[in-house]
Amino acid sequence: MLAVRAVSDLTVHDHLCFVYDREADARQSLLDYVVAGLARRERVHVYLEPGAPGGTIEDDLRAAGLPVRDLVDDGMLLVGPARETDLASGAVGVFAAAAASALADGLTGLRVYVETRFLLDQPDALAGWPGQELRVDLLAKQLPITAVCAYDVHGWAPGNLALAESVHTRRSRDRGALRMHAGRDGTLRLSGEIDRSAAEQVYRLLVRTAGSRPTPVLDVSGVSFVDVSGARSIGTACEAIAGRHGPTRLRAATPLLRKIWESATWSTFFPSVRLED
Amino acid sequence: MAFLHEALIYDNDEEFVAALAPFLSDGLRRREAAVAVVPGHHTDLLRESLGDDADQVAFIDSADWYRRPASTLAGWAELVGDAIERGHPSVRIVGEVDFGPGERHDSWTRYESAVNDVFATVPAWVICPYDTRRLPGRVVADALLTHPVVRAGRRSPSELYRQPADLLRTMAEPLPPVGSAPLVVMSLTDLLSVRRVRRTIEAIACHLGWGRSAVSELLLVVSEVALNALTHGRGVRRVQVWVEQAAITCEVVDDGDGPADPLVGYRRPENPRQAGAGLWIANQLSDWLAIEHRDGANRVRFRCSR
Repeated sequence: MLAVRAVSDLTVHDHLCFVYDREADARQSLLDYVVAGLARRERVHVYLEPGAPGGTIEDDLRAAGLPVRDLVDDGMLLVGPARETDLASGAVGVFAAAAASALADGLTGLRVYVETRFLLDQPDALAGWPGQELRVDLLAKQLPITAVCAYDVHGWAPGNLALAESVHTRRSRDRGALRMHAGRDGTLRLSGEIDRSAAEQVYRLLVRTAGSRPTPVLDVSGVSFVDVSGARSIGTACEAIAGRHGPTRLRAATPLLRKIWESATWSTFFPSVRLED
Repeated sequence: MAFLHEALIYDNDEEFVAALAPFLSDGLRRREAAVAVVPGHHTDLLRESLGDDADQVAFIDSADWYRRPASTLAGWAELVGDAIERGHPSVRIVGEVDFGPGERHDSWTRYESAVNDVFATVPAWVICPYDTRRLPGRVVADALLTHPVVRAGRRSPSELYRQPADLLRTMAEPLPPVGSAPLVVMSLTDLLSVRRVRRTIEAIACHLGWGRSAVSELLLVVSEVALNALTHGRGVRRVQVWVEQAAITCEVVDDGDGPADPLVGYRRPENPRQAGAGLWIANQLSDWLAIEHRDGANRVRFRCSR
């Protein structure tokens, strides 16, 4: 139920990680999402995967009374295969072009829905997907784009799903959990509880998205709790990526994180991390 | 210069000044840094006796310095490190420990013992004054256990000196006293249970009006101690919480053997990846942390105040 309500709450610039466990929920959510976008005069692009929920969207829209043929012919609605669109490595380019085109046509923006099952049998694409999501998150803040990425909880490994959830501004599960997203200024923002149970996820998140980070600044003002393991995971990850991506500037470290960092001269062991106000 | 740690046993102000003013002045002659952590009235005595040299001595009120044994050790490390960085070859220190209330006397005696290990390779000469007019006889007697050299009339090695690891194994850190029944008892089973414990304690502290900073520090101490029990302990792990007017006391119990190193929590970890980092920070942030192993149970009880 929470997932459906989350989709209906969305507004422009939102980037939702929609995790579903019942196909009926996904189907209903997609219908609500598309109808809301059309009502707002947004161009709606739906990228699906055979066998995944949403394949009946055109029928569902017709059943709801919408002129699907006209919408498609007028370019208001596009339903296509996620696998055959260059989303795995070029989602940002695809969405940026589509948003620009929508604006040029006098529409208010772009609304995108991506069923992510197509990634599950492509290991390389899967590994790079958190970085793609991070880029999309930034793009959605900069252009009038609303994005929903749909994740089948039964298909995605928990670790990869947790990583994907972390890089969305909004999520349909557990709002208090770890997250990282890009601000409009390109600053990465890490928030949530970074404790022992999240430490490995934080490490993987920072390392797997390193190539996509717009700037070397990692804002941690939103970290509501951090323990020694969590702080260590940040330091270790930043050292791991420093060789290829340079040092990391840790901005707005909470007093607690500073206490941990300065309690045992961590700067000596994590020289690629620079704490700044 | 090797580390020297001496106790000065005195019973009048003249003896205090006669021993310590030349000690500090001589150090200044040798370009050593000089620090005096003493009660306010002893600051006045030393300043008067040191004359112009007083301006080169860093005076710190002992009531402000000796708050928590573990953080006092960290403070000394930083102070000595800064002096060496400024170019001094070594540091002369007068450190008159404020032993506080009777229930903390053993805590500070343990601190005095740990100093010998923690600073064994540090270029510093420390004299700890013990005022027999003010301190209980047992505390003064313990000074002979914790200082390799004692000055009582004359300067001589202490025949009663005990190695820190030995003394700390036999002189337990006293447990923070608690009232009757705990307010909360929770099980620790996995990492998510640590979060649940944090949420509960956070709710308690916030309900009591604790500030955000104090709450955060309390939760960090809770987390680190709980994680240690999960990682290194055995059997059933349990957390109990007692609430007082201005302090929250927590206890984590398991069936394990507890830390093997009696100095754990006193030594700053050399490397953040090294074991002991969590207990180190817990010791720094809690007002009182004690580890007891008795009757097959390992008990870590700590108190944090708002």
